[in-house]
Amino acid sequence: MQLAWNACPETKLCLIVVIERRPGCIGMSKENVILRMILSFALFLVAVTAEAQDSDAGVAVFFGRYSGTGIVHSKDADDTSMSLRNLDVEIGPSSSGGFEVRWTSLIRKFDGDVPSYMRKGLRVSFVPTGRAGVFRERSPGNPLDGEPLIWARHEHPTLTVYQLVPSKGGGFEVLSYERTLTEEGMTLVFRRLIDGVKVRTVEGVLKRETD
Amino acid sequence: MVIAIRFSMHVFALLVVAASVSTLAIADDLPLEEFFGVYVGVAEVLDEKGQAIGERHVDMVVEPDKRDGFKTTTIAVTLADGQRDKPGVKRDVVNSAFVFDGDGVYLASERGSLFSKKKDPDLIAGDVLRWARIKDRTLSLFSFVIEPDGRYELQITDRTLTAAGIDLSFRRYLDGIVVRTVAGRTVRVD
Repeated sequence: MQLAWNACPETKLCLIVVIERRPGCIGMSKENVILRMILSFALFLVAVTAEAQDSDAGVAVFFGRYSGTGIVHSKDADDTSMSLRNLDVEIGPSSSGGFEVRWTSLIRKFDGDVPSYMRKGLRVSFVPTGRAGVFRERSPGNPLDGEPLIWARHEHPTLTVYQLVPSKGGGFEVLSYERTLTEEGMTLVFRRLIDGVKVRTVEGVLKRETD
Repeated sequence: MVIAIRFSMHVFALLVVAASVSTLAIADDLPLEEFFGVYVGVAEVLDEKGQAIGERHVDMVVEPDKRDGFKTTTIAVTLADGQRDKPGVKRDVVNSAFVFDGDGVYLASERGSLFSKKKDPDLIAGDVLRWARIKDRTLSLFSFVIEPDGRYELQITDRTLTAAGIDLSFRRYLDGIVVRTVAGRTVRVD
């Protein structure tokens, strides 16, 4: 017994597989229908997987060393202040798979004409999660144990690194480093929230030094 | 002999004052029991630009719960064209329960049953982290979740005790930007 199937181009199968109509052949056998449905589903899976891999592989365009300057806008308890920072960022592949981000900032503050300097930095290795474009720290911390949780998000051309840092008595900070590729390097927007209040923003421009 | 007694009295008075000052400093945060009660009031919903987009009637209960914790029930009626008896009115009920975890922190108690294994929420997998704390006269409830695309959503509900009842403030953030605010006042009725 043959299962009659209208294989005209109007069917959904035609979106993925071109069905050729041979003269005199008005229908397909049941086996051919099943085979074409399996092939269509396989092609769909390949397309979805490729999109996820594209997102992970897309982080490679960020690999390189960058340096530049950022302007800090701080809102302390009593006043608003500004200062400058020298910024250095290095993004590259990680030995455990995934990628690594290393950044340092040299903070210059002025007390009258007298400058003082402080250096801060962090180095984090990221590995893919089950979510496209989302990465976690290789050894993630548990905020309920007072440990920071760090993760990253890639939505081209921006790679954002986040930190959730718990503090005593139920308080917390959320830090985000939003790095967006440009022709010459990248821009950086850093935000720091303490208990939901934005207390610091840094906006910077960095040039790519090496690939 | 008389002089010695007077000196000792002065020292004793100074010690009493010092003890009182230090006690006051420790007791800055209100105890949880001060928030227990039934409250009714109104609130205004604001969008990310601070424009009023709706009004709500609020009915709230804060009561003690197991393990030195507390639970809250909040009923919010969103009016339609400023009225409760028109089509389009919405009613939302939110129940929350928290247990004391030490260091002034309360964690959401989401264990389904006595036999279910309690596990810490996995934020990377999309679990929601909920906790609460009291600072000064404000009981704050926090909710933090990482969205499927990696952005984070943060919700903060502040309940500040006043002479008449509780002032409410709710903010919803997406990647650090406030996208929704609700502010209101309630009076204690029980």
